Amino acid sequence: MSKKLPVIAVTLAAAFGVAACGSSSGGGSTSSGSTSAGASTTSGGAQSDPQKIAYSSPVAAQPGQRDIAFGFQAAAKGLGWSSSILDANLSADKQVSDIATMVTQKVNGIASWTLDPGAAAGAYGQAQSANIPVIGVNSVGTGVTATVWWELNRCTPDGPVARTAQYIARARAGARVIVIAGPPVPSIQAYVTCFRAAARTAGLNVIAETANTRDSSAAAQPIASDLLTKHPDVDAFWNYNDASALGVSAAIAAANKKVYTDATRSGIIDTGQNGDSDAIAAVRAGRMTGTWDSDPVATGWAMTRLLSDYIGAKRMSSPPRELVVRSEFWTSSNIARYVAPHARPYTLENLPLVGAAG
Amino acid sequence: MSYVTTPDGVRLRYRDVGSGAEPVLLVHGWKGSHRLWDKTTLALRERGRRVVAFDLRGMGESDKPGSGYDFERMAADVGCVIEQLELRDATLVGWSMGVTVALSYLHGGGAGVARLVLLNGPLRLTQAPDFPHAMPAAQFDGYIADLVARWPESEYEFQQATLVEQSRPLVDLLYGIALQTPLDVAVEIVRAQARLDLRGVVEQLRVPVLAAYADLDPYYPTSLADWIAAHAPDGQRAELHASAHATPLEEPGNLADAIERFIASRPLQRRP
Repeated sequence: MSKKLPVIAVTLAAAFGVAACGSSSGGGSTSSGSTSAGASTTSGGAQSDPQKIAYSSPVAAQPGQRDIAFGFQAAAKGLGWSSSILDANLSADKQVSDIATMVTQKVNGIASWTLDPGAAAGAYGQAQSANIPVIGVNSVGTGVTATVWWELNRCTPDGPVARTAQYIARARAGARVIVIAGPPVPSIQAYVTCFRAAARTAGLNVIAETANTRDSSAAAQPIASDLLTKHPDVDAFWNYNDASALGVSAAIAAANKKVYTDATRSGIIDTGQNGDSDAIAAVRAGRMTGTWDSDPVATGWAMTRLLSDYIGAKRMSSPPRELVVRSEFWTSSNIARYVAPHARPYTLENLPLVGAAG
Repeated sequence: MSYVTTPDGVRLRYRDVGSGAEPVLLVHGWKGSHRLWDKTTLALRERGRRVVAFDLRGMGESDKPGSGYDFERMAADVGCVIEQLELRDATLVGWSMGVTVALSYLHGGGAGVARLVLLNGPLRLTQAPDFPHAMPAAQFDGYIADLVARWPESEYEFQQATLVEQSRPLVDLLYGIALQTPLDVAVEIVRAQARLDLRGVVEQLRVPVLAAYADLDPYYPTSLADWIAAHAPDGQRAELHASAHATPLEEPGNLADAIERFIASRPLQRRP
């Protein structure tokens, strides 16, 4: 063992000083002396374009929000910018206070998933007065400069919700569908309303609708079991999130029925959204038909990219007012292509955006 | 418990089971241990093979010195195991970061190794203009920062993602083994790994290589198997379809069959 290993870009300073096994050297360990900067790469712009950006997360502990923060900070680091995350912890008042703090700290750009547009408007106005752009995340309203959207949250004729209805219709023309909604908050209600309309357009027959107000798979299972007893001929469950879809999956299995997959093309269709890791595992195992992945990591990257259109060395004279991050429907047909969110090889130039080169 | 001791005094935990010529030497990945090979070891042993698996320094039940975690040293540790256990004409199997260790050993001469199996692992951890099969360098830094900031919770999530069917006992097993590696050691090792580009080593291999990649692995795409098979002087590829990253735990029988087929397809060629 004497050859030096091929290194990327840098050369290790230390000599390799370990003798072959069983030879005479019994000495203590030598320092590897790994002094190169290769492990902590900074982009070329780090010195010339230092910007400070911050994200107001509605609830930082939530996995999807963590992924957004991960992408936001990775993109900032790639630009040589500093970034921070402030956790509103579901308090609109705290979010207002956080935005004011960001303005006081003279950040160059703000991203925010607005909890209460009315409450936040004043703080966003302060940012505007200080020439700090505010990027809304799935949010619009007074004081929001531009917005990053999830494609999943856009109710358009060819959007993800409509495509889910079309998917069900292709599998079973005129399918009998049960809708599992969630807590009665405006965004979820709008999402469910969007599906109802899409179902009508696709010729589906919504035979029942209920809400999984406790927002967990454990709570969804008995709800779905009751519905399966009442509607044994159901063709599909459309669920507003993955937790509900997983509960439905368990109920289907408990009823000795099968879940429909692209591979088997028989059984009850069971779809969710979020792309949670346990839902991805269920799709792989044929326990769920599909889940929509809104790609929160790419969302974080897109937030920083949109900010870079407004501030810093790459700012544009006519920056876009919105970016839409493409959502992906994972089923057994394409799950082999699935890449774990934190391992997705994003750059500012190759983001999965709708209607753009990325 | 059985240990090999390296020249710098580090004790490496190992298991050596079965008997016969042409043994298989198994090298685990980042924060792993020889226990992750239990099911594969059993499967290979049932096929009549002598199997050796050991814990890399800093991981599992091996010693954890305060510094010195580089791949030349870990490659030397492979040589140490081969020498002390008198392995000849071995099939060296590297999984995940074990691919980096195995290729590093072959780069240094590869004494005692007759064949190489690369399972679900990288040739380099970050992208290059002509190598898209990995993440950008900036994202890699963010990934490590996130792992550290949220450790050990992040570790649990990492291990979950290695499985197709995330049964609690299996995730707990992976998690428990991962926690045997101190966080600072894990970071030092992966940063050393990130400095390496082993494509050239593959192109200069002097032993046959099988690139076995699981098509549900969220970390390493099967395109890597294509690349290895195309660029190695004597390369072939195999895809595994019932596992994510943790193939040795999720489909040990298929993996053992792939290894045995590979060995049978490349019989030893001794000079007269």
